[in-house]
Amino acid sequence: MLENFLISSFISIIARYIPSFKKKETAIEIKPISFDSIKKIGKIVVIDDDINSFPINEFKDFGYNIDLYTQVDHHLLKRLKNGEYDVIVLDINGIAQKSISIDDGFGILINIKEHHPHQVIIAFSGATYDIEKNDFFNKADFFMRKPIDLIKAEEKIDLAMHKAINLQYYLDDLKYLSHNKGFSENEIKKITNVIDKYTLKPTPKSYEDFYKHLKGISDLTTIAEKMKKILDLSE
Amino acid sequence: MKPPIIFPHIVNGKIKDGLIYKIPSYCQNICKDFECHQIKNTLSYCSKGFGYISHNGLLYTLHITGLVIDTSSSMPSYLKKQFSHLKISTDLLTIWFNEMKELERFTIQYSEENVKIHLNSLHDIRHIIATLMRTSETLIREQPGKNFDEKLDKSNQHIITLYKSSSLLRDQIETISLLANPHSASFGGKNSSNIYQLVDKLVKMYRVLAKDKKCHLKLDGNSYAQKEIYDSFITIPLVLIDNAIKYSLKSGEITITIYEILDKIKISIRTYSPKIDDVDKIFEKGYRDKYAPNISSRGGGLGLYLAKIVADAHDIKIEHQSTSDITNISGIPYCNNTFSFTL
Repeated sequence: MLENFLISSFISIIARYIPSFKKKETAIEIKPISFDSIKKIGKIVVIDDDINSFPINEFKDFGYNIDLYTQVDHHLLKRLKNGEYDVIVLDINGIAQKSISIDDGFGILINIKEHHPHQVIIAFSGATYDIEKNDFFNKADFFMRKPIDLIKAEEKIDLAMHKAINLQYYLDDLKYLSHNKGFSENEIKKITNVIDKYTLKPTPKSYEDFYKHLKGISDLTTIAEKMKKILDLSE
Repeated sequence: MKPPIIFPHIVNGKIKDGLIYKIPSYCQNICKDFECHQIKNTLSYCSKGFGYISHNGLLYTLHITGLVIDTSSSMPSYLKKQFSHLKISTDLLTIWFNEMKELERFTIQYSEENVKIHLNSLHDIRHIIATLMRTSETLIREQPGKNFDEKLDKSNQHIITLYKSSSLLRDQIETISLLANPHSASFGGKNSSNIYQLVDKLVKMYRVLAKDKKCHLKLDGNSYAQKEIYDSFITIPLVLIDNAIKYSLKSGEITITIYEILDKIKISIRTYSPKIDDVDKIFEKGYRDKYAPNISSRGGGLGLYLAKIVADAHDIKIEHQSTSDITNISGIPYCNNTFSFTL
């Protein structure tokens, strides 16, 4: 028995110095952050022409960062596509002029998803009776029926935020968008490597190193800033 | 709506005149073979050369018969001469069938648009419910407490009733959407939920309504398990509890039981109510059982139909059992009825 113990101890000491035996630390495994912290950094937008349909004031009281818009204009559409908001609550009717979207809310959803498939969108409508609107509900990540009560709204928003605000989700998003922006496989690999280094040791230097690889592209830098917020909270 | 059939046709085994072309007297008075009663999707001829064809459309199934087709080679010349006034071309037949298909498409579209117009009017009702919800939530926020649940507990009974009734009203209106669009039962993907908590909230809301009938809602059992369900799942217990209150004997007890069996959760709702005459039919759209109208004029026979739509989306079967000890009360047989399902 002593012999076995000595042999296994010897092997484990040696293993530390052999690279293939070293346990590869997963960069995305960091100290979990509380949901209160997620609420502080998360940004939600509700887009609905009926200001009464969503309990905005109650959510603000609960400490959520939440904006309300009744219409989507070109400027807001750009911000939505850039990933400024972690969760978009989107109505289907009456929220966009024909110049922005010929299909109103459905057109906005498709536009955002085509540009940014990882954007978390909650379809928010009472038109579940309308077979022609099935696509709107099916293409969104979540859905909320109108009218929504506070408790149900909070449950759904929390679910959506858990999905949208986590490092792995940001990493997947970053890789997808980098690919779409024409980054080569090598460049994407380099980005993944600097992210690994950054998440293992989140210092201003490693963040700067990570950031500069994104070539100033706003979609990507937005994600970098979000990752920084999570890592700052997890320290 | 009766379709405009211009040719002779078969209805319930009997040949009827068309709006323009009458039944050939040979078919009506002499023919004993009735070959034309067979279903044929392409133009066919009986032994006397009369044409017949079936139309299986979106709305109508028609059996056209007794046709005197100008190009029919099997009709003896004496019959062709006798019924020359009924002669039609295959082109006319084709045109008529195409027009029938157009009419069916138009009828379906008109019907769907009409339904949509009426359902769109629900938008205003939803707006009113939203106003009620926001008002009650504002009143609740003014109560003392660290969070919304605490504040709700400390609110007076009227505010709680306002809040819970508006939620219940919203859930009831949702059943209309399910009727119009059964696919909506699976919107939003499945999410993990504590089933006991969900049913508990529903029972608390329905206690307010059960008071009117002096019924007592009792929730037994317990479960901590989470299950993956669609948003629509709530329709199943909602319909079963609503029915239980509707049909329960006045001042009766309704028992809702939830318990875990291995990795499953079983939910049952038991009430003392009229014996169900035809268990197989109660899930059919529009069906109300024999004694239902005696108990409540309210109801269109849609509740269990909708509950089944949602149950099917979840791969759940709603089962019914009743006890054999029956008591006759005012001419209606009463027994213990239990509806249950397993997740």
